[in-house]
Amino acid sequence: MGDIRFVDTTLRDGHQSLWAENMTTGMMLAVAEQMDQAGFEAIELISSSHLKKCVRELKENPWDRVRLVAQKIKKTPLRLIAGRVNAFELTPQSIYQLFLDRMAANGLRESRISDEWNNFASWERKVKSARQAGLKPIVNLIYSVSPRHSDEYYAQKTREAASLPVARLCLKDPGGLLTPERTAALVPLIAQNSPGIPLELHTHCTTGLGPLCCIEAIKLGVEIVNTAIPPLANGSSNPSLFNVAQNAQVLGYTPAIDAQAMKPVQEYFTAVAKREGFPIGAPVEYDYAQYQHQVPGGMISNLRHQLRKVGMESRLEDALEEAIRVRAEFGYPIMVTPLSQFVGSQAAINVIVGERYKEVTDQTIHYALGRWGEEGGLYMDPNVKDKILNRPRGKELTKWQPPEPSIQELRRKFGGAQISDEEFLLRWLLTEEEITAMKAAGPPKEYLDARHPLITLLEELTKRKGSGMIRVKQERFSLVLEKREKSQAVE
Amino acid sequence: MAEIRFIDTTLRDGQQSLWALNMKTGMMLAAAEQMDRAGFQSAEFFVTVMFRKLVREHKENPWDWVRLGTKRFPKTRLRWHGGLKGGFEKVPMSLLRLMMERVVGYGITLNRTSNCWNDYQSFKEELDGLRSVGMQTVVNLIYTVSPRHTDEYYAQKAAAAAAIKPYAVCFKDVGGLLTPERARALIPLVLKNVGDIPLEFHAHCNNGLAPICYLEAVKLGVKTLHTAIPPLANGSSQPSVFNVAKNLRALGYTPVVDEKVLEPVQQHFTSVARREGWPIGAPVEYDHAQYLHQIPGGMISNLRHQLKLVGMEHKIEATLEEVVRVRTDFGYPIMVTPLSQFVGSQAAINVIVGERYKEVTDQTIQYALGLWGKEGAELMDPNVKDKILNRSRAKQWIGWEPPDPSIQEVRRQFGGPGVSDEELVLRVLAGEQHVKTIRSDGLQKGYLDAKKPLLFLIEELVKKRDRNQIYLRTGDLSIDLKKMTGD
Repeated sequence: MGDIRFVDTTLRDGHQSLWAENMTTGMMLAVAEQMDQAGFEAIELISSSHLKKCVRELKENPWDRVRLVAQKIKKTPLRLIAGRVNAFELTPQSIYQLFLDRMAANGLRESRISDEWNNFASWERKVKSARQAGLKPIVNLIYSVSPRHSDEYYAQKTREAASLPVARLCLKDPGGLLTPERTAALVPLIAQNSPGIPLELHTHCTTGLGPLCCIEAIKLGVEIVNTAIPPLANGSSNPSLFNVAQNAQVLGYTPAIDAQAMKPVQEYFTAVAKREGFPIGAPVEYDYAQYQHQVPGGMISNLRHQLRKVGMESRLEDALEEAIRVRAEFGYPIMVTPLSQFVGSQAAINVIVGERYKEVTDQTIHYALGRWGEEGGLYMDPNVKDKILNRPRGKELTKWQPPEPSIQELRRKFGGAQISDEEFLLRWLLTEEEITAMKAAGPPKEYLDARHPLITLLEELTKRKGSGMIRVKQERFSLVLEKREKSQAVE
Repeated sequence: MAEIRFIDTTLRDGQQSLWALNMKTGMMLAAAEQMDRAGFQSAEFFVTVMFRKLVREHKENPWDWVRLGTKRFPKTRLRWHGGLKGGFEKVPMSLLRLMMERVVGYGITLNRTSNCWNDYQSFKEELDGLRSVGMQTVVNLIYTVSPRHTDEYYAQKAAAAAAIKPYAVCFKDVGGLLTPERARALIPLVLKNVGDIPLEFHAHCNNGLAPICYLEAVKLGVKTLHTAIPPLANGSSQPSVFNVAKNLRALGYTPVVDEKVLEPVQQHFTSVARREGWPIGAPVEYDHAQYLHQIPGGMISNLRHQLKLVGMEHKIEATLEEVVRVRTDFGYPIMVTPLSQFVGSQAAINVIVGERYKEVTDQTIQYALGLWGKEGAELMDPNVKDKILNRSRAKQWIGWEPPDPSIQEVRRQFGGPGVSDEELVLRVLAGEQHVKTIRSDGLQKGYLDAKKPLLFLIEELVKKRDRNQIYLRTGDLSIDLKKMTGD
């Protein structure tokens, strides 16, 4: 039987799903070379959301990350995840193109492209951008559950995607909602409608079915699966490399990867998790409620927070039920960022205000106007749409036209001609203060792990408060640590 | 929509699957009254092998648990697990009958049991025996995967199970092998063929699929499910009552269980797990290899141990593959105790000796002769059967019948007429010398009441060796603990 190839998601989706994107560049660099040796089909490295996280919280330059990792991962194609550059602001095409150009210039070789409506025009534009930047385009067919997302819908969307100059398609299941039966229905249908184009599966373990769906897909002819290395697999992340490789092997397939060679990487990231207090991805129980509201777990905690602020935490269940109604009225958008956020926020507002759509967010208005995809405007319940747009703010925003500024115009606004493209992109996305703070923190730090036992020992020993002096002696080695007065310590 | 009822397995299969039946009586008693308030249709309370476990390892008298435990479940119908067939050790049926009489005396009038061949003809005799002592019986219909275990097989076996008029039939997925797809194929057949006999569903989570199979089963018309309370759910145990109830509610069904009542029970058993270092049941990844060899996890570690003894630990993969072949040669027995043990041991021997069936266990011979179920002899590959039986050792077993001593004979052997019924049961099931070691001062303390956090706190505090004095104060309560000098 055939070879099964693996796309690794550990450095991108793995920690995006489980560690809130808290993996630093240093943590990646420590194992990058090793991961390059395993024989992955590709390694996901970054998506636009990581840019903000890097700068704001990790105080690291994301462009340094890309460059440094690309110096260590040379054999395996590095992959960009390219939905929007800014998830919550409309991204001008000029910015999107520059973003891809710079990623390619720094060593990325592939771009997995998404549009949250599986919209053809958006795909077409992004595939073209990727080709222009020299990135291999892979188009996501995003899976969702709704009366609108029928087999026929996916057949049609597949034909549309296959008509573009794509390298591959990827059946992407961001909510982990795929079941073995739906996999069995969709994979053959996608294959029929995209002859000659390889298909990848990218699923999540949110309801525990990810590993099973991978196996089902492999049996149906899918040869490329997206997996993560534990502890960054399972939970709401992707299936584990080890699990899928072993199951494929048991079924008689040949995993085209040296999975055992990734055991030290698992040990390394497990040590990182323990040291930093990051969660260890673990399988979860099947949870049917996910199919109903399809509100991502992270968003549920967000909703709870919003409700708590107004003393209505007890209404969480109502807000989730309202999310089901709002999603239906919005014409069943796929529950991915940013659309899931729009649905969730509006549902919370409806519950808090006590009258549906009495208050609406600007994003709800823009959504109704088709600015977050023409489908939003088309599919929305007409009565709800009237109610949303029939207010002064609605009229105001109807008149407004989203600008499509050129790079030159944007540059004038964000730093002028003297700054580099990469700095300019950061300024477009973030504030100058945030970028200044990031620069002040210096270049990415090396992450010292258990393979530096002496340093760990010193760190641990200096934490001990009880003793004034510690002396460690071995045959030909001795180490003395003495506690100093505060004044002496500042040397 | 329909009401769905729950049978709790925490105190039996839950702890048997995850804690090797290590719970002491006090740990169970502490949670019993609370569990009784949850509205379970029934709760698994005891499995016959607990006699041995409680006596030999905990030095506790199992009848104490039976006596005290039954009083704490006034509302919930309790279940015994096991029947009148002794299994591995061939315990005399007369003794098991006496045991059941005593059990019925304590008010437990329901049991669930299996025949490892789903052989309802031989089941009928057992069922009649149980009925005559006042025990109603749920008979298992065991699920397995093999070319022999077809849809037709289960349709026919379901009808056969119903024909002996048990209290209920339990469709039991012992290895956690059922998939939603197989559930959809089999459950309608089984439901149809059991007719008016109620159908229960009991599955293990070894492959992570049981929680979803339960929902499939309910959608297909099953109304009674076996669940456990975390941390004794998931892993290789049953699905969690919380998970199943919540999912059923989301699907529009009415789960007849009060989950709020069970939250303190979960907390209690979680703190027991932490204190004793016992595992917390957790969901697992789907593992396709389980479908190939179908060897229970505990047995794999056993096989590895056997191989290590002869310095052949590296042959574990070869042994697992041999297990698949031996099971085929043996005519695809269901991989449950004791049959799974016979298959596993013979496979290990074949690998160690280097020639298949050159050496065989006595059990393999007995199996080939049909002493462990006539199907064994009928379904075994004839060439393999010849090879097994064509040796002098085999001749000794031909015509052998398991001894069936009367209760008087058993009593004579284990101490004579002065021995009480309960004592006799203990002596036979746990071993006479072990019964003598049962603590004379009653049950072990420590877990008798979970509602004593203060005691627990003090216990933990006095364990801290690096402090001479600990002073705690909240509101108008203060605790002052001082270390005494050595004398």
